[in-house]
Amino acid sequence: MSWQIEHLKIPHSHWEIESLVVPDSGIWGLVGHNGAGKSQVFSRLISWSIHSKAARFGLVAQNPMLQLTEATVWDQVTWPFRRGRTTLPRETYNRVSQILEDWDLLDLRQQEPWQLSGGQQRCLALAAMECLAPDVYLLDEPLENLDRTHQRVLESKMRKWGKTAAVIITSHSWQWLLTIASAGWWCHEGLIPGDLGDLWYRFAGRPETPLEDLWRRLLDAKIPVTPRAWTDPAWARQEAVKIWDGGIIRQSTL
Amino acid sequence: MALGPLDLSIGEGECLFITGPNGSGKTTLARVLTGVVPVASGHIRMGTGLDHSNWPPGTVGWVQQNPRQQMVGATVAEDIGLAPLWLGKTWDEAVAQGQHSLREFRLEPWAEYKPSHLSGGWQHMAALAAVHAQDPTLVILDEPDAMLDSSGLQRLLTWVRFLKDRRQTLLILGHHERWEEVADRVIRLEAGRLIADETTSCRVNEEWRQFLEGWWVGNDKPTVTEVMSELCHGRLNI
Repeated sequence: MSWQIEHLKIPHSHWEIESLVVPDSGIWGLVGHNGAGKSQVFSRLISWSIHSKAARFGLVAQNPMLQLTEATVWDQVTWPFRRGRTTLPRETYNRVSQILEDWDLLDLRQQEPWQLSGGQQRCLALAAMECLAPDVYLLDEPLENLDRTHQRVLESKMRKWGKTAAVIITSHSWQWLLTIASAGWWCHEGLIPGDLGDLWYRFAGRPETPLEDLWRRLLDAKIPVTPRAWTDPAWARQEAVKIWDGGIIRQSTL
Repeated sequence: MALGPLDLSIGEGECLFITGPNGSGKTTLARVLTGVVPVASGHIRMGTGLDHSNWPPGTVGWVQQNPRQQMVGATVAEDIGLAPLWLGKTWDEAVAQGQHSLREFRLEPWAEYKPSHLSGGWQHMAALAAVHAQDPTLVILDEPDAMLDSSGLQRLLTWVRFLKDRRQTLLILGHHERWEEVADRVIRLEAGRLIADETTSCRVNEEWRQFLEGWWVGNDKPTVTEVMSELCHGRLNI
């Protein structure tokens, strides 16, 4: 079941989302420039979910330390399940332990969250959210502070979560977004929905890599390449060979 | 986080990229260098032998992982102008330095905003501008590219190149490979220990970089057709 949200007012930015359909599963990107209002959209969605009680939305904020309130890592992930109990049901205990293990936090379970590194704090906030298994995951720049190993953990988790829940992510890394999400919204005084490859071509700023720049020029010249192929060098080369062998690039005036 | 024992020498005007897994001690190293965390044993000395505890105020400029933690001004403009004022500049000099930084980082529209009302990316930009206004001897940037959009990233890279040209000593902490191409040395930490100290000149694929950078930047541009030809024949190692 997806959720239809209407007339969502965004504070500070002074604009309103007239209508937004939050899907029930999959991975979606919310993209926009700094200050466009992406984090405010997330905070308004959380507020909407609390008031409407229609669905359980979970947020991992840009600065995860703000949401780490408990005395230890273990307390942080188990407090919603304790409800006055001193011990957890075996099944919950095993599940929470496994999640902490996945995020390399099990050995740190007695640590105070504020003593963790920035990357570990983000892992903890993500693990705590995973334990709650919300209907919609709102992940605000989840890639930041994570090393390669934990970026891969995050990707694999997101793919798993996305099968049964909606995962909406913000990020400035188009390369990453285009490999993990198929569609989403461009945020600028409103939300423009679309395929992420198309949104990249329409709205992305200065290319970060020569290959990204090359792909933009090819699309400008109406060369039939897949917009997101630049994110994977092997894919880009495959398309390059195809259009080269097909004579398309030679016939152009580039 | 326990750090060390760690022996590390940083040349004046050097740019180091310090990387390593989460929890390896990168931020702890920054905290030690800024004096936030005391060293249990050992010494930190500057070129002339001046011990860490006697470094003059403002020697180290630090952009933290969460820049909101370091913003104390009531407005963005005030926050950026505070460091020069504290370091002994006159009011007019501090204001001028602050205004210059605001312009450099394109923060003028946000000058009178409360720092807490900025987005994460703009907070990061304001923290960079404050360090620019401080003009320290040693600049430490902890994940400076976090939360920046493409134009913010370009401004950051331009500023880092400017610091390098001025031979300002620079430590960049983070994960992204882009810093390996910018830095003179790459330091890898793991569990608080230094496990590798590499100079960067030999690791960049010069042929690929020169070919495409020339085209990308706009000097002696090869045509897209030429680049595609190189690409599809596998001669470009991407």
